Order: sequence, then C-alpha cells, then structure tokens
Amino acid sequence: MRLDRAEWTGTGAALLFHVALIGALSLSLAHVVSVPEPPAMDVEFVEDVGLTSAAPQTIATPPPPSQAPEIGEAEPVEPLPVIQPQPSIVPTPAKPRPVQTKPAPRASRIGADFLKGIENDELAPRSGPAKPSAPTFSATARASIGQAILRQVQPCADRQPFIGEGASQVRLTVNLKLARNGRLIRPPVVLGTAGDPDDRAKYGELLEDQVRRIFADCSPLRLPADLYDTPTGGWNDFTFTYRVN
Amino acid sequence: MRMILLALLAGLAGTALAQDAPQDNPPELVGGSVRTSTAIAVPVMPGDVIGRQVAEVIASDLRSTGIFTPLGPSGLPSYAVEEAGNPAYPSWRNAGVAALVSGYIEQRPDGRITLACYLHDVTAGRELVHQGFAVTAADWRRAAHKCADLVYSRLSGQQPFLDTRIVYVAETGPKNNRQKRVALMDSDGSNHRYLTIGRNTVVTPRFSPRGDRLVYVSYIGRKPRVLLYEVASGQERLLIPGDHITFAPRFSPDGRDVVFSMAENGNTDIYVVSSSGGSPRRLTATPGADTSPSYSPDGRRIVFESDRSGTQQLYVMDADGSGQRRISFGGGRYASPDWSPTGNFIAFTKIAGPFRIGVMSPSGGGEKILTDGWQDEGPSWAPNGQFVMFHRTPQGAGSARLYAVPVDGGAARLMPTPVGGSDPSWSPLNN
Repeated sequence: MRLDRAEWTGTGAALLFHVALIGALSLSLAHVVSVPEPPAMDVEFVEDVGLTSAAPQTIATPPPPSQAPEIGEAEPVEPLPVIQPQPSIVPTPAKPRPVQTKPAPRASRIGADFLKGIENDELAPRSGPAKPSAPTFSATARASIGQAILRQVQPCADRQPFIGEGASQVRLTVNLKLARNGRLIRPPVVLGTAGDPDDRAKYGELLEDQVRRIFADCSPLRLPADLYDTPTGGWNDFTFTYRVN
Repeated sequence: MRMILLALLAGLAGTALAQDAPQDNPPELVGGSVRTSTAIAVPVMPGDVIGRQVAEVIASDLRSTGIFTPLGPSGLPSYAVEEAGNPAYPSWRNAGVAALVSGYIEQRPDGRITLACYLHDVTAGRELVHQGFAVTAADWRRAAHKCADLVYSRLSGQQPFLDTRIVYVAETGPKNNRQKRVALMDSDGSNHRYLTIGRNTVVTPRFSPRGDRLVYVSYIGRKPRVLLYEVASGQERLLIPGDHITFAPRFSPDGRDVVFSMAENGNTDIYVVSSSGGSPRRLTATPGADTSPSYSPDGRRIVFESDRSGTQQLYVMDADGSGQRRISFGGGRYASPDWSPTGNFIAFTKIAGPFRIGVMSPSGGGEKILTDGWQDEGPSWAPNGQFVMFHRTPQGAGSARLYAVPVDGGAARLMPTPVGGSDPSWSPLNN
C-alpha cells in the first residue's frame, strides 16, 4: 500500500499525538499519590461502639461541636417526607451504667459485640463533595495501604505466643471486610490454608485464633478515607497472608 | 497503518491493565512466637460447694502443662451460672488475662453431677469451646481434669493428657533396706494407692494400651520375673510360667502381646508372647544382652538396647525380629528406649558421664538432650507425646523422684508423688 502526501502527513500527526499522549499518561501514572499519614491520635478501644459510651460518665463539660458533617439533627434541613419509624429501630435509652471510678485502661476493650453500631460511628469522614479528580486505588496505593495495615497490627502480632514447632510451616490467607471507621465488619475470614496437612490440621485453627485476636486488639485501623472505596478498589476489602516465626 | 494503530492501542491497554492488575502476592503479616505462658483466669465455678475445688484442680492441671499461668480461683470475682457462657469480657480483660475458664456444676436427676466447662478468648471476646462432663459426685476430680484437658487441647492444638494415671515404683525406707512397691495415682498425685505390698522388690511397671492391665518385674526368690496385673481386680499371674529369668516387659500397641527380655544360657534376648498366655517367640539371637524393647505406635517395629557392639546402643528391628540395625552413634551409651505415641521420637537414657534423658528420630537423627540432671533415667511418654516422665536421682541423694519434661524444650517439673519413686509409666487417656 502506497501512501500519498496527505496520508503521510495524517499518519505523522497521529503518531506524534499518540507519543505525546503516552508520555503524558506515563508521567501521570508514574506519579505516586502521596497518602498523607493522619496525625497521631490516642485511640481507646471500647466495647460497645455506638451503643453506649464507654468513656467515664463523670465528664461534666459537653464535647466541642464536631467539625465534620453530622448525621441526624445537627443542622436544620428542609423538611422531608416523614417516614414512620419501625418499632425495631426506635432508639431506646441506654441502660444506666455504673459510674467507672477507675480510668479506662489503654488496653483493648473490644468485646463480642464490638461490631455493633459501626454505621453510626464515623472515625473517618465519609467522602465529601465530588473532588476534581477521584482518587484511584493504584497498585502503589494498594501496597501502601497494605503496609499501613500491617504496620498498625504488627505490635499485636508480635505478642502472639508460641504454639508449636510445626506452626511456622502453615500460612493462612485471610480476608478482612472493613468499615469506613477502620473496624471489621465481620470477623476475619480464612480463604485458604497452606502447609503440611498434619500441621494445618493441628495449627490452622490456632493461627486463625491469633488473627482474630490481633485484629480485635489492634483495631480500629487508621487509613486514608479517600481510598476506602474507589472505582478501582479500596481498603474496604483487604486480603493478606499470616504465618508465625 | 493498521499495524501501527494496533500497536499503539495494545500499549495503552497494557498500561491500563497494569494499573488494575489483581493483587497476586498479598502482603504478609508475620506473628511472633513468644515463649511465654498464657495468663488464664479460673474463677470459682458456681452451682455447688465443690466449685472452688473444681477450679483449683483445673488451675493446677493447667499450671502443670508449663504453657499457662492460671489466675485463681482465689482473688477472682464470682459470677452467676447464667454468665458462664456469656462472661463480661471487658472485666476479665482488665484482669490482665488472655483466656477464661468458666462453667458451672449442676445436680442431675440420676444423682450424678454435670460439670459444664467453657473456654473463652478474652482478647477476641468470644467463646472458643464448651463441653459438659457428667460424673458421679465422688468423681468430680475427673470432670475437672477433663475440663482442663479441653482447655489445654483447644489452646495448644495438642491431644489431651491430663486425665491420666501414673504407675511407678514407690520407694520408701533407708537405702540399705529400701521397700519398693508398685503405686498408682492420678497424674496430679491424687488417689494414690499401692498395688503391691512390698514383700518383693519390683521394677519397670508398664500400662497396657487401655490402662486396664500392667506388666512389671518382681524379684521372686531373687530372680526377676514378669507379672501381668489386672488393675480392676488386683489379680496377677506370671507372664511366662516356670523358672525363667524375664524382665523389661512392654505391651504391644494393640495390647495382645507383651515383648520382654529373657536370659537363657548366659545370653539375653528379646521375646514376644501373647498377653493371654502361650509360648514365647524369640526375636533376637545375637550374643550379648538385648533388652528394653518398645514398640512403635503402629506395632510394626521395635526399638531396643543391646551391647552386641561392646557398649549399650539403640537398635531398631521389624516386629518379627528382622532388619536389625543400630541407630545410636552419638558417643557414650544409650539405654531404656521408649517409642513416642506419635511415632516421631524415641526417648532414651544417655550415659556419658551423667545420665540424661534425650530424644532422637526413629532413624537415629536429630538427637536432643532434654534434661541436665546428674542421674536422669527411665523415660516414659505422656499419651500425647508432648512430655517425657523420668526419675531423677540427685548427686549424693539416696532416693529418686519423678519429673516430667516437655519434649520441645523447657524445665523439668517435679511430679507430685507422696514418696520417692522411679520407673514411671504414663497411662493412656482415661475413658
């Protein structure tokens, strides 16, 4: 096929345009989204999240007004069609609890019902108004989030006791479903167990116990809110492997 | 032209795909393996006056494993029956424990009692396991042992071993007039009783695989003779009738046979005979003393000691006596082998200056010395293969005591015998 002058010009322009496009895309893709580390804060694990306060009941001064958008009746809004509340979700006053005279310890106090109420307990703000460019959960971001999660739970992992010589040969693949506030939506789920069958039978359940203990003791996780759930993924669904030394 | 455009599109698509590539290698979290004991609360169990004693037995059992630090029952808060399965986890977390053993005791219409036993992971705030044990009121200690076994097994991944008995040679009296009797007790030292009256010196009692019989050696007329003893009835009989010198007996894993040593014409060889009687069958015929036979758990092989090479060493042969081969080459002498119930170890006494207890693989590799006493000897495995019991005679001391050492390392623990003792044998798990 022979090209005339116009075709050569068009082809050349197209090539130039694509080269420029690839260059621009590559530069953009190579740019790593810097995930800002949230400022250090004291987190106290509580048992009844969102149901009743576990903070000492003797606080007399009201808390400062929240800077984050409130859910509910923080600001007057246009009246909406009234929805009849269902009896099952009518909030009932919390039972009075005895005043705690001892300050709450810094150790974990997460209980069996530690997942209750997570919908109303927002440690990380929800996505605000649409931003000019939506964040993407790139491979780099995924790796950074993975490292952030492991870094936060590593102190609890380090505390796990020796359970047997063969335990180090077993590796669990574990999935977490996380709420925006960094808490688990459900207990960790073991997707797979690798290792010698005898060792798996002997130590698989004990290692799963350890994973549950680690995430009960070292959550909620503090992670960037804008990467919770993006069109390309997010830390709401996190899979990792677990083994012991 | 088309080729150029296709190449451009492929490049762009490849770039886009790379961004959304699935996570092939998920990140890895590596947990520690801290050699520490787990703090576990054992409060008084509600429902009956024996609740405190039950908790004390459970706590003592758990302490004896070496992997738990039990708290309680003293000093811990009480709770109601209804809370046994639904404890206040935050309160127990504040007590600094990682696990909680709760439960209750209930009277049954048939006069027995039920011990309901619950184990909780306090850190994760969830129940790990629960089980009820119905026993006669007089047997409450066994229910407590079962509860402790449930806890040990769930938290360690190992088979239970606490609801067991120990038979040993109880030694009393001065060194020059020592009385040696076969004695039986629970693994925590309770329910101690003597099975022989001490007229004859006895050595090496061994349990049958079901725990209902014993074999042991009694010096009758100054000659060692193997006796077979029914635990329930106290009946006993000679394993080999006649005037033969027999010793070092052990049951086969199915309990049908007894393997032992017999000395004839100045030579000691290993024989096997049906535990119900019959003619013995010779397994070894090498000049020298072949003794201390012990079956592998599958019953297909036997480990024994022999001085056929000039010094005591360990040998393994097939159960029919074929394929004899030496497995100990570590220097010094090796004696009294005992094949582990899990099959992966052989325990032995190593004599290289002091006497020490060690383990090696059935092929002779991986030798590991477990004890550091002056004279430790006579190893016997716990039924779960995690501990080795032996007797230790301190330097300059006249009498020996029983100790148990974990096979994966750790300090030896003194067994709670009321008197000095030797030659322990651990029973299988009680039914």
